[in-house]
Amino acid sequence: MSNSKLYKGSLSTIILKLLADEGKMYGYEITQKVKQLTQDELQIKEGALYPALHKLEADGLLDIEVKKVDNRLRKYYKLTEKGTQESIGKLAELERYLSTMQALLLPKTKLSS
Amino acid sequence: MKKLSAAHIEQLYAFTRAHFVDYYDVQTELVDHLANGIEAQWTANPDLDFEQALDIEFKKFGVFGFLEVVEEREKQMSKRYWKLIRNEVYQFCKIPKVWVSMALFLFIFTMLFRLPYGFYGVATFLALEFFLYVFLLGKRSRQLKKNQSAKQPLLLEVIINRSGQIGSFSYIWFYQFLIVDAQVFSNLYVALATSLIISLVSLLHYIVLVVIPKQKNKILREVYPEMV
Repeated sequence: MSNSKLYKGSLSTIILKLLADEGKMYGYEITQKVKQLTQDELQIKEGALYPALHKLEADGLLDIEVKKVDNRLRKYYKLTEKGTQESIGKLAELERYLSTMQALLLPKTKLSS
Repeated sequence: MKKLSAAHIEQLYAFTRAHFVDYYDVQTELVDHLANGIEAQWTANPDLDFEQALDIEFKKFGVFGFLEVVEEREKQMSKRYWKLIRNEVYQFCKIPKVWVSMALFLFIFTMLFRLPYGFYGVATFLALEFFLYVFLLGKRSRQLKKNQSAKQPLLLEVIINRSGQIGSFSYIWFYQFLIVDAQVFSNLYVALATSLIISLVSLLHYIVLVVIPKQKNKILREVYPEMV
């Protein structure tokens, strides 16, 4: 994964969120979608994406579907029921993290009466 | 849009093999990824050479190439394999198979604790088990090599054929068994503990050598429905 170490811990959440929105996706598509959504700000490295996908699959959060496209086989990933639940939990966790960081970094200034 | 030909796809499979990806399932995913990347490059620059485009795509995997992908996949598939073993062990703790487990335990315990030369009987049993293990493992390894020339194996298939490589550590205690004095088994607790360990390890060997390989095709069809 690119640019910042801050993104690394969020890779699974990003994958789960994308699959929750898109239904099913293949590896290359995920990298391109992230690039497009973040306007090239975030680029997922292939060497990090596939290990993360395989881990999520082994944990029972993703299901696979292989289809023949053009003259090759393509492996699609989609959320299992457990994966759907996990994506909701992970997103809530990330939102809590963001609001905590925001409170720390951008504290609201109190107006003196 | 310029597309990759079947010959290009074969070249990509060969490329992944040359970069230490030995399993067909992992190769297939990487081939599709590289192919998508190359086609995307051709959209922007149709005159780009196939090899050049491949080189650019491969570099995106970082300095370790496909290594991280393969290692993580092996780790996850091994976990899946152990889950299969765990399910089978569970079956041997439930009726009806629990009777087999108990009979094995009682057989070993009686030999060790009750019969005067039972120790030698158990040692023979273990030696036979060991030779059977080596024989079956060798046979499957030869089979795998033979098939490999026709078709690349799937990762889980390799793990099943190698019995998860659990043999080496499960036999460490066996040598210790051979060097101890047979008299130690006159102690009830030593005999009980040894019988329990031998029964468990023997059951484990039976599961990885006989039970799981028998179900191999069914397991592979479940894990790789479109590839088997």
